[in-house]
Amino acid sequence: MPVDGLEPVAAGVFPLEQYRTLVENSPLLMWRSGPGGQRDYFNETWLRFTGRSLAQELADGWLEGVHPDDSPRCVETMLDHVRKREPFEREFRLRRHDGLYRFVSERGMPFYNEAEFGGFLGACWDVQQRREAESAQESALRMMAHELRTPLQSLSMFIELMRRNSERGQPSPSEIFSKARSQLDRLSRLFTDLLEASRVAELPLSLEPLDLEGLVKTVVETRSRALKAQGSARHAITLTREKRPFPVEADRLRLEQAFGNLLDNALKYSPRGGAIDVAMRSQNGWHSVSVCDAGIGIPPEDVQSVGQRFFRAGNASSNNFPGLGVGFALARESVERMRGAVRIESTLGRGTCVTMTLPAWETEGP
Amino acid sequence: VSKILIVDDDVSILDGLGTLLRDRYEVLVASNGEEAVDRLGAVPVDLVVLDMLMPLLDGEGVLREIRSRGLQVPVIVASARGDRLADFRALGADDFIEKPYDVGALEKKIDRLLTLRANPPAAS
Repeated sequence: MPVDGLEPVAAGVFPLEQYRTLVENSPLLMWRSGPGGQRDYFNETWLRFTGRSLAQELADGWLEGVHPDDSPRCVETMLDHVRKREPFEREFRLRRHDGLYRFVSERGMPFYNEAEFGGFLGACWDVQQRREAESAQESALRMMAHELRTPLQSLSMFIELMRRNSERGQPSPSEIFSKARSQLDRLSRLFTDLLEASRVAELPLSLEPLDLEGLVKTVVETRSRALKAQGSARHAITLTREKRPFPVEADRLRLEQAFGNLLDNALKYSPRGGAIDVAMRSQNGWHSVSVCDAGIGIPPEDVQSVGQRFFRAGNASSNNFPGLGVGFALARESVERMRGAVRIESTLGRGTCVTMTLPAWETEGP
Repeated sequence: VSKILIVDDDVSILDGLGTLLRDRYEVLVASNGEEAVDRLGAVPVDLVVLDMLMPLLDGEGVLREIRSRGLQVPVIVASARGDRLADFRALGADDFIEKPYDVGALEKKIDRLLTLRANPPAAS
């Protein structure tokens, strides 16, 4: 049956030029090797990926781009495949043009000229993101277990206290009940966060005009009070703002949550304490709130990724900063849905500034 | 009365466990690894209950610091990572309790180590 005026063609009868177009523009990094395993061809995609010339890559030149830890294994498996002349698949790290090593998956197929073994045709594709997602998921599950375990542990302690008191015929002071209660609240907050993470994109927003300054002030005051109640004097949160109204159209609950997450991160990632500066500005029809801490900062290579759910920066291991890695991602997603943006600037070891921007809400008339 | 240092970054655990143990021991608390090391340098304690997941200096760092200073104080590691028991032992932990734990079980471990410390077994 003709398709779009053309007869369907069997593979193998394309004009050579069309094959060339396919191969050179494929998203796959392609290559060919001779019978001894030495490579005699790389497509455009490969050369763009590594940022090297064909001459540099030919023969065994491409191995210079393989991560030193993976390269012996790469050579070894190549020799093995050449001997066996069988299709193969493997993963290794290949240096991209920007100097970063990316995990690639590679598949090679033997080819024959007449009956003679000619070598391999192969293709690689970047699987770094898949690998990162897998490891992020794994560590998220571990953290989730930890985050749930802590309130459970302290809840069981407060209940044990009540039990021991009652065994001695003593009443338990009411504060023990409130403490147990607050651990239960903590558990339900965790569950809410998890649920939120799974459905934040689907829940409809309920937008209303509101005063951004009032909202920011409320959240700052709540956090300051909580710090005081915990007896923590490490941090001082200050709020500075331009003298003007800050009307925005937003979902109050979600915006409170988003800003709260940013503030909580600033507190959490400045374990030695210090000033947390919250500043409100207005420019060109946009209102912004920035939260700056003098904390541990984010490694430059991770700044782009902290917006992904379950991503944890390299200097925030589960050993020192427990967390699910969803707070910032959720805040960003929420603000973006309110037509705003969240920007992050950070210097490792010096601190982080996160700025949340929303379009100013224009009332009718001049 | 024996002096026990509880190290945990969670205030509610310090609060709950502290209150429970104060019945029978003198209790000191530290909410991160650095604070724990400072405390240990300032006051001699008879036993440490050590959490592993903490900011600034984690439990492993504290254990290393304690042992490198030659302190013989018994340490009970309280962690969810039961799979790392061998590592904790290698770092010099005397005992281990898996979180979440029963306080009664922890108290038994504390008493056992304190008794051992008071009456060390004769060297063979």
